[in-house]
Amino acid sequence: MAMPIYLSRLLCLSVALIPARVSNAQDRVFPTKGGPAASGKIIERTKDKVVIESTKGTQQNFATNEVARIVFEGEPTTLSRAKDYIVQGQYEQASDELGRVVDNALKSKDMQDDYGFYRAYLAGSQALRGQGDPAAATKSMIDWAKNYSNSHNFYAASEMLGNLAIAQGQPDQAIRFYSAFAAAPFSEYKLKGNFLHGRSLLLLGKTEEAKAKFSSVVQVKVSDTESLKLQKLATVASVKCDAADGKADQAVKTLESMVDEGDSTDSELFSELYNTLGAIYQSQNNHYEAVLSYLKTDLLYSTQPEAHAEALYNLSKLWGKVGEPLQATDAKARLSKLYPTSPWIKK
Amino acid sequence: MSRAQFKVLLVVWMLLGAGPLCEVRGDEPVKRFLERIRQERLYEVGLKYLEILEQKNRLPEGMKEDLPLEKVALLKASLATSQKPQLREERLDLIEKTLQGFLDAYPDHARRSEAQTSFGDLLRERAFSALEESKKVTDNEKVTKLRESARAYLESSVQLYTKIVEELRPKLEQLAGDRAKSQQQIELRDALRDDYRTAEIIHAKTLEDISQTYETNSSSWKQSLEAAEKKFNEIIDKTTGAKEAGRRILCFLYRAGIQAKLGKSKEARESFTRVADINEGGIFREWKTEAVTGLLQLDREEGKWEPAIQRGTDLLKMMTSKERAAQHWIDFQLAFAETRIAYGATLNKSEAAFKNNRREAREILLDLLKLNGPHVEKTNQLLVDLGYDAVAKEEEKLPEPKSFDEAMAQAKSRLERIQNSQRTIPILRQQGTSDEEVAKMEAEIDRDKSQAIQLFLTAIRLYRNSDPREGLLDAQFYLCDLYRTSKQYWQCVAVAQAVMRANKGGEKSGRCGRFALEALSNLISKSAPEEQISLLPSLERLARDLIATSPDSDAGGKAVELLVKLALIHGKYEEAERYLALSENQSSSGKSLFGQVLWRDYQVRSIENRKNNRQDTAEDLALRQKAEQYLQTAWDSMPADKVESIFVSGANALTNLYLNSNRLDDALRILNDPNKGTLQLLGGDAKLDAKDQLETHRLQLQAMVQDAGRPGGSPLQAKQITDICDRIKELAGGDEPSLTRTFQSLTASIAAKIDTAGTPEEQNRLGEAMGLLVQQLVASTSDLGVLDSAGKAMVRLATSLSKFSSLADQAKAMMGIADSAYTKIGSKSDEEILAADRNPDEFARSLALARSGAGKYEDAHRVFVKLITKHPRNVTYQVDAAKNLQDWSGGRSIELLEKAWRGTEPGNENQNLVWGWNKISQATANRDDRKEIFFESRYNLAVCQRSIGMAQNEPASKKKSLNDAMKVIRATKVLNPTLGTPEFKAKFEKLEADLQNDLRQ
Repeated sequence: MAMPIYLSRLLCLSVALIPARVSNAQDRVFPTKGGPAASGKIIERTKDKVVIESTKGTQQNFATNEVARIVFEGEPTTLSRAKDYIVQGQYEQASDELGRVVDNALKSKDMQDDYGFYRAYLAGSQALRGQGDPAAATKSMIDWAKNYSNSHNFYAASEMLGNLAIAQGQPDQAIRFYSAFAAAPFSEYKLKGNFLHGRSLLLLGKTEEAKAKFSSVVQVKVSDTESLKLQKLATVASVKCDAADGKADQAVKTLESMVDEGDSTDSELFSELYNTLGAIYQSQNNHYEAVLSYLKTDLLYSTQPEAHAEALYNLSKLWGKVGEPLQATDAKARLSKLYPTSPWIKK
Repeated sequence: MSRAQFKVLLVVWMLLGAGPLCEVRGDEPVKRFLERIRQERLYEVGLKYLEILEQKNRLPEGMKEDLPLEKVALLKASLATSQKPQLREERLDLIEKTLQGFLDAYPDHARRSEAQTSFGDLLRERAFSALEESKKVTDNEKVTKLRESARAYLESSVQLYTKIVEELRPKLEQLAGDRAKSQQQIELRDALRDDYRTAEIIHAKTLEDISQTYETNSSSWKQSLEAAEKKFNEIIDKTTGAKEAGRRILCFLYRAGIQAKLGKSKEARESFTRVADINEGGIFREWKTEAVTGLLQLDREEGKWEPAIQRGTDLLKMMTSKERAAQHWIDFQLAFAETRIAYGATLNKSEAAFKNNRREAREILLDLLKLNGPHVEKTNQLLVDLGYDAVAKEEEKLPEPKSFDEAMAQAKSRLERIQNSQRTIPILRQQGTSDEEVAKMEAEIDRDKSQAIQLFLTAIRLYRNSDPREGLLDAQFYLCDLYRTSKQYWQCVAVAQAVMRANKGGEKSGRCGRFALEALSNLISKSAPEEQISLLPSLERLARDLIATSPDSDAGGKAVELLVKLALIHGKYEEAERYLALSENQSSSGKSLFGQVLWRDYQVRSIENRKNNRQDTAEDLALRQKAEQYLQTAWDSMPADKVESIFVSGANALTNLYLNSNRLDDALRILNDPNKGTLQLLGGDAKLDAKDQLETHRLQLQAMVQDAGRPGGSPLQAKQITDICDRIKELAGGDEPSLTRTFQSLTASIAAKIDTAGTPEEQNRLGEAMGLLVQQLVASTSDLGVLDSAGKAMVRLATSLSKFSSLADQAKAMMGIADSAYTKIGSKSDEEILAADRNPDEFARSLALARSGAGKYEDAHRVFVKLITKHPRNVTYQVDAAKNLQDWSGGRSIELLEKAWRGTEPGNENQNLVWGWNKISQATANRDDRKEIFFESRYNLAVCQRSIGMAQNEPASKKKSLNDAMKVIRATKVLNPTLGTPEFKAKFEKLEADLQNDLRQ
């Protein structure tokens, strides 16, 4: 008898999938740039930096934007695994692991801080993917922030609160949080904070102010991939401001040239480009091209949950206008199924 | 296109080895979007999209010429979903127009033959649509019109095939015989020949199809068939070589059918016999069945009963249970039953021969009724002709058997029907049967399964001691299997355990054990992690039963392996070890995995120890020893002829362990064992994971380096290294991270060996061997990831060696190799580097650092200046540039020392482009995130000033410089009393003490 596939999969389990039995005898700081974790005793932990002292007494300083995650001495392995999963964006597994953390296993304030943050952060991430309640996630994060306002997780929390405010249709609130994020002493946070601030202004219809923010993002000299990408997103958003100011034709040309010159495997940028094009066409009553633009996001970039939900919402409105009511129903059904709590459903 | 006609083309394409005509795929969103649109069946949207792209002139350059073909592909696909006949006709017109336009516009296009074939398909499709329509209408005038229309299409397609042949003929003549010189020309000639013959065969077949547009037996009908026969005769005469045997046989089969229609029985019989006499497998067997079916019809018409019965009986005996559901075999069985019925009509009803013949015919028909499908109606009709009532489909109601035997028979008949239906479904799908029809059949399978389960349970309940014992076991066995396939896993496990206890050591016991193992595995794989633990006792019980009842089967071992793996996943090492003890001689892979896990855990601990400058503890060493014990046992019991991936990864772990423990000979033994050494296995037939193969080659290289590094070891052979590196690259494919990881892992292992080598000499030997390896890598690759890894490895080794003053020159040489790696990267343009998702500036920095390390300070300085010109405020680059100047000075050149602290390369507004330590310290003062750089710059500022002082001959100048240095330290102290980290504090304090000393002298 041939071995069934699931049995052979189980039997072919590799060592990599079996967790290592290493005791957390020391604090460990995992840097964002990869490489080995610094281990020792954390002697200082603020929203701006983490200082760890090795057993030999050497101190190592980490700016908090250089810290991917921290594992505290003696913390439950379920919590460590959950953090790892969250860093990797594997939210379901993270949720499983966090669910198994027993309260009384969190013996230090550090652990309680991290646990509270990651729980709120996970709830927020899921809500942003349309699979959780953004209001509940916001409350959870604010409750955490009240107790740990100087935590090394502070800036990540600020950004998440801003994103959740946007998801709840409160861009004015989001600006508050993004400003806190942009106040970090790290250039890339400032850049991102300004971009997000600009996006909130755009949602409030303050196109001139928004454009100024986007312009400030684009003008900074950067060389790292993330910042370069952010600048492209800022350019797209800036073009959106132009379109809102009545320069739609020029905006379409600019966006199309970005499509031609860009790397179409960059899902984040391209879903944004196509959704923006879709919105502009829609504003011009060019329903068919709007459908085609949103359809590109739907069919090619569905891995971007927020952009995908936006595309599905718009398709559910637009398909009917080009004589395809069944497709409209399908888009609506998929939006409800894939992103049950997405703000796009409530629109 | 009807199924039969489609089959003609399909068969011809299959014969010629031509695959489906695929669309060229690209990465640009247009292609990908169109592909997704087709997958979602949004053909109208796709057409509109192409129209918009064309209007806006936004089609990618490479797609402009192909646009008509893309449109045709969408239009053709849309036909399957368009219900309205008028729209369908419009679409067909448009496809025709588009294809014609394309063929006219691009006489030399690479996809011309694809377009021509597509055009031919379209014409035939239109012809058959018209013919189908003509069968539905009753108005004679309409019938005539539709037939004329079909004929016109078929005649156009004949013209098209004639044109294809005419176009190909001169091309083939140019390549005939030895005129085709190169391999490429020979391949082209073969491909053109295939196209040529295909066109000829479809041409002939289309001539036969034209006959369908005339009244049967009319003179035109006859003329078309004769033309087709003539064409097939010509092709048969030309297809004489062995290479064309398949085409020739197909032409015989087609010709036979035509001859039969023309009433040329003798000729048809001869043609059919040519096909029926072939006893080959594959497609020939299918044609043979079709030929025998044709012969049976001829026999029937001519009353040749005895040869017919013999022919049919012989073929029926050859039919396998798997074949019986295939359409051509169903056709044969129906034809044979018909023949028997016709033969029966000639016999005396009282004769035994009549009864036997009737019984045989009935059996064929009843067997056919066990299959679901469109043939059922005709089968029932033949049963009626035979004098039996038509058999209604097996009732849906569950029967109520009265005895064990009756229940078993009813259950088994359902089992048989399940098996037949399961075999039929894929065939029906292939034939384009509707989803509805298939779903119906699947529902029938489910119903049969459910009834079979109930009937076997009834049989067990009705079992009496007088019934055969074997029968009871059968019932339990089938029941177990049915529960498994119906996904009722717990029931499956329960029945299996009953069978295992009752039939200890028997074949059914072993199979039921496997069913139960499969069922439990399924339950485990679908359970949440915490629930998996609760299934371990059931699995352990099953493992024990399997080991006790089927010791010769490997199922017990598999169950133990599963137990071990689950225990390991959940961190229960002690349990895993206990499970392994259950089967002493089985579950080698479990042992291998356990050994690998222990080895991995040891490595993690060991790395942690090294980082903290600790030795391995006794507990760590015991862990390594246990890992070795399990890995070695697994390797010892590893069968050389049945290698699984887990064994290879285990053998790799063992090699790694030996290399790590300085047991090079043991490691080489595992790598090079002539029967099952890992290198031997890589060359074998076993399909091994690429990552395991990569790891084996990495270990091979590591062993070679370590061997070369020991006294009297074999020197490295450049060619061998290049070959292995090429193989590694080949295995990594385009997976650059995987390739880079392999080389990084290799260099990290060697660097670790160097760190722990006993003497500087040993370190040097290993370093040299590694250097040679990296040199080869650099020479043989232009892969950015590999070059970067090679450069980094050399920097790391150089840093290790530079700790020993006696090895300073070797360290420099290693930096030289790193320099060559980064210089090679530097030869690429920024665009190329960016395209590989790398940062050109980072590479430039690595190049400058390597050059600086190799003592090429001036070159390094030039690169730093270039970098700083691009990024004037990048503090990291500024620090690197200042360090380089300081190193360049050798602590003696006042000019360079001045540059190192004051800065150099004046730029705009008299500002130095290279800041120097002084400005770096100003730029980083009061910056929490730059504290380390601040202290480093202050320290080096003081060091430079002291060196300047020491280099001065004139006492006043010397004193001034030394005092300046002292001021720097004191000012730093006043503002930052801690002086940074303890390391910096110690350095500052030592420098201060030295300065005090200097000033006293």
